[in-house]
Amino acid sequence: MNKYAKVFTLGLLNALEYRVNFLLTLLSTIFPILIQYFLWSTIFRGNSESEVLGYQFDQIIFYTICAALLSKLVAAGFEYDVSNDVRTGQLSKFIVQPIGYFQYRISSFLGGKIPQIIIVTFILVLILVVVKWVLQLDVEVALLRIAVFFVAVALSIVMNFFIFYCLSTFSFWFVEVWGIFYTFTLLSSVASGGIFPLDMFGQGINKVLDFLPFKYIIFFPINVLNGKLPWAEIANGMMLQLGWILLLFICSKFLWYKGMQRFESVGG
Amino acid sequence: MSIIEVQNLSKQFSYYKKEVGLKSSIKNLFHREALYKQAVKDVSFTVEQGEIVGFLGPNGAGKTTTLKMLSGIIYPTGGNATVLGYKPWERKKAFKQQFSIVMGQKNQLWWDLPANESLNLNRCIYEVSDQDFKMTVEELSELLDVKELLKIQVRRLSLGERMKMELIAALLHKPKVIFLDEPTIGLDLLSQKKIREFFKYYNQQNKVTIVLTSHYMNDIVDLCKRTIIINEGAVVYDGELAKINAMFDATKIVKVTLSQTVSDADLLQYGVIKNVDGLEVTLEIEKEQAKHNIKSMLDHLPILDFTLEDTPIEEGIAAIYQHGRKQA
Repeated sequence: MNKYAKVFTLGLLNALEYRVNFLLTLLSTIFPILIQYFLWSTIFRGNSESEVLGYQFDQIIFYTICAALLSKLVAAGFEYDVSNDVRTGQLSKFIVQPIGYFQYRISSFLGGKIPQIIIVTFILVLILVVVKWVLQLDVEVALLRIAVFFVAVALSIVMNFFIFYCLSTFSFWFVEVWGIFYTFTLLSSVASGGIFPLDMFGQGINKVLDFLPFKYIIFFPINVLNGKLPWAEIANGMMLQLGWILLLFICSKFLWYKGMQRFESVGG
Repeated sequence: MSIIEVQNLSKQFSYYKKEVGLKSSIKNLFHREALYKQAVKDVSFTVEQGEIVGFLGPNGAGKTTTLKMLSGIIYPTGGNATVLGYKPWERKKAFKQQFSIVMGQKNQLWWDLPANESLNLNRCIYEVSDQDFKMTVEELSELLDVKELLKIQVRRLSLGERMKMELIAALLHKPKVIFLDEPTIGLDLLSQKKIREFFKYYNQQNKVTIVLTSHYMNDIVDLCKRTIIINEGAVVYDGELAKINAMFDATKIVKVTLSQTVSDADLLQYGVIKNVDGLEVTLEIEKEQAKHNIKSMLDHLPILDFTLEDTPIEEGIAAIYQHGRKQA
């Protein structure tokens, strides 16, 4: 078996081993969703219009649920492993063995995502069915959109990998990186639309966000799903996702090159 | 051509000084004074195929740094080295496939996996064929007595068991050169012995070249004909371990048990008194006079028991460490 296929399988097995953990983290999103539910109920009740910032009540609740699920699905987490490898010198094992660290990390990461994608897909389908046919809410469901949505999500997962792969190079310069990682995760969650739809932030902030990769991680795929975007913009968005992936890839190469120089100079 | 050739290899580390106290901490935010430490300086040696060479030296002497340069983990700041004809720090795949490094203080196995999964991963990494893999694991696990433990998660193994698994993992691809950095550290005597015997056998069977560092004298004495001693980054001795003492002080140690006390003055005729504990006396005698002095001791002193020893190698080595420091 190819070495990276093997690492991919190990990542998958590892995720299966910790499947309950993943289910519990999904379950934990129920509370923020409930809080948002009550928040939006109050807002809509006090408002004479049926729309707030372009969203109807049903739509905003649907967005909140999808965003919570997606946040968990694209989440990285391996940045802590990288930091550990650097701090304890485990990284040198990848220097002396014929295996690339980058290929190892991405294989293991993607392998771990397979069971999670299956779980999230299952839940999402369940929600769509409940929303559409049981609660009869006003949410558009189209099969083609769902298919394209999954392609966008796949790109989001890869994009988020690269963002955090760049971030993980902080480990080379700082011994204690927990705070940096945590803060960054929080900020990126807000900036990617993982909590509120980005329309809420107003034009000024959105102009800034247009130049950042984050909105393509959560905000964009959900807009593909809920029908807010016309097809031309969907195609455009996916091109931008690919562009960001390329840019972040180059960026990570450079940062890792610099980091490894430092790793070697301090003795590994 | 020699398997390992090292010429004037040097490594300089830079680090920052920080003095005690808040004031200097704040000062350090703006300006840090860089200091340099010469971890390895002008080290040269060659190793032939099939040799087992021991690397000795006090902590911080530069043993591990040298091994790290020879395995390509760090770049040297000066000099040159080739291992199997490759410059290690170029990290060619063909080179990586032919050597192994085992560090006693770092583990290379995947903690969450059972040992055989981890070995299997190494099999894929090194592209070892299924058949070779099965044979090697079978043979080595038999030799090291860990066959029953292959299915257990690595984190649940004891230190000695884990080290044995590390060795199997490091030998899967049949390396031609093996670097061992303190492979027996923290192990009990029995495990240490097992691992030494294993390497002795493995070296004879496969004609592999081994470079070994250790603080346990037994590891070096048992395994290595040749020893390179480095101190403060420089080679201070390169040769047979047994000849170290001859180089420095040519003395013998005589331990005697007396039937009644003898005055120090009487003892001093024969040699330097190292220790007196009641009736147990230890003397150090010049080698040239040893034969004569011992004979007259036996004739004139009330001796019950008597042993004759060479100065322990440790003392010769300690002398070399200190000698090197004076030169530096």
